[in-house]
Amino acid sequence: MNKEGGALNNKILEVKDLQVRFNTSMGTVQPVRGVDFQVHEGETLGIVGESGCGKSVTSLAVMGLLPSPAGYIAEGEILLEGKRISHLKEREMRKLRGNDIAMIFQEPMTSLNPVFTIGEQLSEPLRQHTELSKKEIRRKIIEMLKLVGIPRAEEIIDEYPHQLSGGMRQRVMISLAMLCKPKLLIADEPTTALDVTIQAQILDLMKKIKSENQMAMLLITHDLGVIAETCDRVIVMYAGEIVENTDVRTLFNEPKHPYSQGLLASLPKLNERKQNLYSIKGNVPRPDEIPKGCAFSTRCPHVSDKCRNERPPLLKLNHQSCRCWLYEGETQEVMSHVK
Amino acid sequence: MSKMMIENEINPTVVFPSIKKKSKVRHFFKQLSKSKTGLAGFIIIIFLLVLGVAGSWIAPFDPLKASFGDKLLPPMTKGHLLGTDQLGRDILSRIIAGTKISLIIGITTVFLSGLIGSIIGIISGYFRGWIDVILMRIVDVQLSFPFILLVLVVNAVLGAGLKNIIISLVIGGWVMFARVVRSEVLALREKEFILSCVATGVPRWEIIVKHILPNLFTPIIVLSSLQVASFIIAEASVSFLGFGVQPPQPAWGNMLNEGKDYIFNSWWLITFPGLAIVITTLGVNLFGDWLRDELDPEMKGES
Amino acid sequence: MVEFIIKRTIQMIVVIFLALTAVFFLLRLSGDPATLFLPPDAPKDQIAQYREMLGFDRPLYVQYGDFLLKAIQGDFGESLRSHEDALSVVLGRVPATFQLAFAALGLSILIAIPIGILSAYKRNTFYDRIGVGLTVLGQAIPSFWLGLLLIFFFAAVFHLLPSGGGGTIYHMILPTITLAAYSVARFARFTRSTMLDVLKKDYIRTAKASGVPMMRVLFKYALKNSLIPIITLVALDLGVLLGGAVITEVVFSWPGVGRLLMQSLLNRDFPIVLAGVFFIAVVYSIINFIADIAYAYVNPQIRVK
Repeated sequence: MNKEGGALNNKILEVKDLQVRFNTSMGTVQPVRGVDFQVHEGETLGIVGESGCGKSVTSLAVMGLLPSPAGYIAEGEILLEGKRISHLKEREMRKLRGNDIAMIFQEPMTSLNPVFTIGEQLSEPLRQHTELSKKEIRRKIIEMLKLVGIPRAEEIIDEYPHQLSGGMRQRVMISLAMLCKPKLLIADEPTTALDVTIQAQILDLMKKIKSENQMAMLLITHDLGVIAETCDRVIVMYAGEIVENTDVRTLFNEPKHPYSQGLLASLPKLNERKQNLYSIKGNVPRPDEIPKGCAFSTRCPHVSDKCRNERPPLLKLNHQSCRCWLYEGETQEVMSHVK
Repeated sequence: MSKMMIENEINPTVVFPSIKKKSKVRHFFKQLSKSKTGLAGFIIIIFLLVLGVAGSWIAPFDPLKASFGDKLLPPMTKGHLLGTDQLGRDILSRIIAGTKISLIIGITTVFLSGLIGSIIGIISGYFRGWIDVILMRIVDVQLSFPFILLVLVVNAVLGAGLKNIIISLVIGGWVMFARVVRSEVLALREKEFILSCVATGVPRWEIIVKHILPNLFTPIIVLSSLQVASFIIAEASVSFLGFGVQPPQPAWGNMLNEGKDYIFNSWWLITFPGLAIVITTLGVNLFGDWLRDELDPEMKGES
Repeated sequence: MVEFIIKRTIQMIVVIFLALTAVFFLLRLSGDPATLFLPPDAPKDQIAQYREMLGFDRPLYVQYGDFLLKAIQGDFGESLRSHEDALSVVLGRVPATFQLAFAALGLSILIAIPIGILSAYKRNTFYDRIGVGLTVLGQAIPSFWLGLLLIFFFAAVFHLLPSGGGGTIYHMILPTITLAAYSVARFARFTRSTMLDVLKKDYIRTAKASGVPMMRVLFKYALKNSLIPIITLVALDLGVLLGGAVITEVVFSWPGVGRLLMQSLLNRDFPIVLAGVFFIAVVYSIINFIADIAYAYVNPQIRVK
């Protein structure tokens, strides 16, 4: 349901109790331990968390791009417009990639193949998912490149990635993703590797594209500033699970989970000087070192014995869901299973 | 996201316990036992070393003793497990004796070419300038000629015999070491810890010996493990072609040379010495592969 | 690009020049050349006479200069056995060797690269392990032994193929297989590990995210990215191939340059040896040169500045 009121938009993506496991040389680890969320048409959902919290793995699971056979979806399901895609065969999944679901990645410098021209790489989604002729494909590519703000579109097509700057390359990646007008766009740290000024441009571009196409967008980042700029709703992930799920305004005004509070407190405030930078004590636990009970218990300023022994479920509160025993009394409704 | 990147996300810090000297050996064997192929290679090498050292006591017959009455006996006749050759000499004993030669050649050539090549590589890479240019031109010239052919021609010119084949192989083999060591030194030179040594006035020789050399250890070992097999096969080839180690001294290569005229009726003359070469090379390669994987953590998880 | 070509050409010439020098001095080192040209029991004054006649009594640098001058024109003297022009004899055998070498090269690339690619794709499965096992074995088997074994089975036991000589295409089968075997193992192994590296890269992930089917990802995209190191390896291995050709030619009595070189080394027919060495150095340098150019061409980061 769209929290902002207004018409009920379609649910494009629904993730239910997703658990992802990896077989590594050090045993089986579970980077994602039960994640539920939804993204609606026209909505941008942000996933925020530090490195190692499982946010990228979640996005790869949605795309079906988990490195196999080491990585796999152990439990849970992923639904695209109501249809189960989590257990689709590769051949079926391939038809969706670049078509209904598209993804852009963090590193524009290495995400484009150095030995093929921009044009060749851009024509792939169209070649795979449409029946257009070469001429039409070329036309569409030029159109899209212009749309994302690349002026010399006709020339760029025949150039190689190393001839473009980082910002340009990320625009190319965005065009690549948008060519087949996907219903869902996943963006994994799209601006982290870019200069600050370019970051702003790219974020604006993404917002524009989203609203023009009424696309659902899943934006993954560790940068709260990006969340504030672009997202409607946001989920905070920690150690493979969601600890807070709310809309953007509530997150910044009334964060409930101690981790979210810690993240917000860590942001340096530009208009205040002479303060110590706050940092959450301790480190993000490794997937094989997750504490019993609440995953955040080792670093939480409000920790209690219950936190150390029992893993809290996701509790539904007035304006958000929060995985913390502190709010036990405020609600009867439990949002997720706890195993 | 690549699997490597994901592993990094999952294990942002990998902590290795500090290993003390004594348990380094134990660590070595523990790791070795985890790899079937590495272990197999290691066992083969040990086996060869034993044969090489104790061969003369193990061999059932005298490898040089000819017996015309017993020539060309098939395997398993008259106590000759692998048969006899055209002069009636026991093949098994000759193979065992040949092990010693192959080992001597393998070890000395790798050691010498490694030593010479590394020294030249260090000088070239560290001091640069005209020495570097000249030395590298020489390397280029040598590399413009196929290794085996080079060894062959040099050996043909120098003449037959164990000493000369070793010299020929070393002449052919030092270039690879020089090249690799040089490029490693070039990279190391620019590293910060070296630059800070220079900045604090540490004498050049000390920098080279104390700081650069230890970092060369791994690449040199890696390269050596790759080269040993080439040397063994090169020596066998050269001996097979009639140069190198001459009969009656038993070497697997010349045994094959002598045996090739008798393939049609006495297949055992070439089969067993050939097998010896294959097993040796296999053992060296398997162990070398494992060693490389162990020493170069980036390559781990590759195969 | 043009600048690169010019630079490499100059390098190549320098290298050939130095190679000739090396051989010249190497041969002079191995003893008084005059004695080599005569039977071992020749009387002393005949040796002296011969030496004067052949110019071996002149100062070394004069001999060297003379040698170089003649070498540039392709004059290496005459074969000591047949008295034909040395270089012509060598060149006459070239087609046979090229035939063999190219057949072997073609065969190994054709077999090895698909094996390597599929092996990388199916890594650690049963097929992969067998493939890797075969490549490890292939690199441990000396080519001459393989050749002998093949002769044994196909010629001696089954009488299917001739065991030696040249002429018909049947004569070519066994030598080609022998020569190719080692290269197949090397190329397959290297292709596999290069592919494994490439498949981990971000741009492959991008291709998959665009919906490209796996076969196309492998054979169109990943392959082109792998070509760069593979071409380097092939060029490097051509030397091994040439060296292997010598041995293979001897085993199979194939009438090529390698066999000629071997016989001349045994017979101490030095003009032929010199001409042969010169030829091989030139060919090998040219091959390396072409490989460098090919590499620069395939890698757009060098081609398109």
